[in-house]
Amino acid sequence: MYAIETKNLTKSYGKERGIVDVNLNVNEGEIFGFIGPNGAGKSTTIRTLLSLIYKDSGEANIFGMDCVKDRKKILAEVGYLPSEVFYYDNMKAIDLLKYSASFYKKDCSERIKELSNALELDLNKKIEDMSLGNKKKVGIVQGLLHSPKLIILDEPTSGLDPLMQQTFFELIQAENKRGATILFSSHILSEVQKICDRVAIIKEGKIIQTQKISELQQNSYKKVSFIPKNGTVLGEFKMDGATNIAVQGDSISFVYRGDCNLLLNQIGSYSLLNVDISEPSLEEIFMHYYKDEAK
Amino acid sequence: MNIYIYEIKAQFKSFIIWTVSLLLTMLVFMGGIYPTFQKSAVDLIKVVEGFPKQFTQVFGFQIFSMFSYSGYYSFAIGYIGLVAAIMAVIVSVSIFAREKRVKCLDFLITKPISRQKIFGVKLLACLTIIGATNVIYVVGNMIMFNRNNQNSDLAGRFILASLGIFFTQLVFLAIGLFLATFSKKIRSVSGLATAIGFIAFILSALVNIIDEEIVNFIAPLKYFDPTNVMAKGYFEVKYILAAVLLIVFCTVTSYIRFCKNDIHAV
Repeated sequence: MYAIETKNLTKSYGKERGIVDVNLNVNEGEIFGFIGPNGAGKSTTIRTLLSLIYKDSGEANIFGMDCVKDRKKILAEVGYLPSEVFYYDNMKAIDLLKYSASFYKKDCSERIKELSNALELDLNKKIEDMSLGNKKKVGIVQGLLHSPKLIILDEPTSGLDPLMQQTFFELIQAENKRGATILFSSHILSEVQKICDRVAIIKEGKIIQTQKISELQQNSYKKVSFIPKNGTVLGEFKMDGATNIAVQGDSISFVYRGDCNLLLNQIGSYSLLNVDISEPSLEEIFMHYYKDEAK
Repeated sequence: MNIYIYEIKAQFKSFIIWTVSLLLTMLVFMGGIYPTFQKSAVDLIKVVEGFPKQFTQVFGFQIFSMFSYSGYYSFAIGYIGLVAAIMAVIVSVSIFAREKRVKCLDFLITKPISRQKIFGVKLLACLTIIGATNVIYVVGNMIMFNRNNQNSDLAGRFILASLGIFFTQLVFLAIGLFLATFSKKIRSVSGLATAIGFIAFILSALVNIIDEEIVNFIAPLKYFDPTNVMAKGYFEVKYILAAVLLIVFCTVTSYIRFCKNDIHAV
């Protein structure tokens, strides 16, 4: 059984595209990254899973239960942190967290203490007087206080300083070790790279690839740059498997996916001043996917 | 139950303010103005007869019937009802648009509780507040009735007439509920409630001027006019039906909207 399973999940907003035939399988106990730029459909997918919005067609299941029919059972096991956190006016953090805890049939007081200590959150401060980062901390605590089996994080680190981001990642990893499944949506690839096991890339409402993070980085993608000796005319460099080709002065760089012998033969045909072949960052691979298709 | 307790706590201050306002309005009219009004009957008739007819119609003056306690209450109810209507809209909009206004619908809707139950509990909180207000109002109104040495045979009818405020509040509660669930944005609850109250008051004034029975249906403040109760012992059935239809329409459409509406990211 998957923690999250969607089959051809589709949602549109009138004539506006939302998501189209999204197929996701998130295993229990994994940290699953969900990456794509703003407007790609990450939040639409998440909000459909949480029944905040209703699907047009397809299936969405969490722990084998239908997201709409079994919504109540599902939400008892889900912790959610939205990208932007808003709470009631005139409420102290502790009151909000107690109110949040009252929806779950368990005593969450110890967990509230633990989490707020870890995040250095002042529970007696009014939420409206808090900075964005502290509001986010309240959001993190309220998302985790009931020790959920599935944690859904939608762009969770915005507003957190780097040190707090690190603490946050440690908390998430600890939750994962406890057995929780994590769906981590982000457009910041380095943070996905840091903690995720697998990643799905979404583009214009469609999942274009689901891969292990390690595969994504190693699956024969190479970042190549070289400088031919003076006088060598590069002209319009072309090569099968080469994308994101950029010529800057005497230097040419591109991302290559394919047979490395062919790559070496091609580069070897030039008289070289310098050559650099390295693992591309996830960002660079990502850009490969997002390259304008019109090109 | 947690949502219910939260809503009652959140509305408690407003409940006190509006219940006191409602009582004060009633006290000013029935305990303050009415005795003076009664004593100056002859002079007042002369003054009012000098007013243009349209003016007296707009403000609901029916001078000869106004010297009886019940007749004066029928006049005063136009103003007491206005306060009650504004309160009812404030209660329902505050409770049903609370999360929408502070953009925290995500917080509530991702909790393990059905939207149907959230709607039901919030509605129950609204009815509790309105109910409590009306218990206090009816008791206050009856105390005032007795203090004015009114015929105790009419007490039953006067209680029913007082309950007109409760029924009027139910109508405006439903209108507020409809606005809270269908509006995309609500900047000011009191601003919206005052606007609704003002429109209702204008419609009542319009009905007074036009004096056509059919037009009465557009003025919810007139549905539970105490005149009929004091004279015959019951509210007019056709207006009860109109109120019920309006309440059912607003509540059912709001329920469907609340349960089925997509909640978009803020």
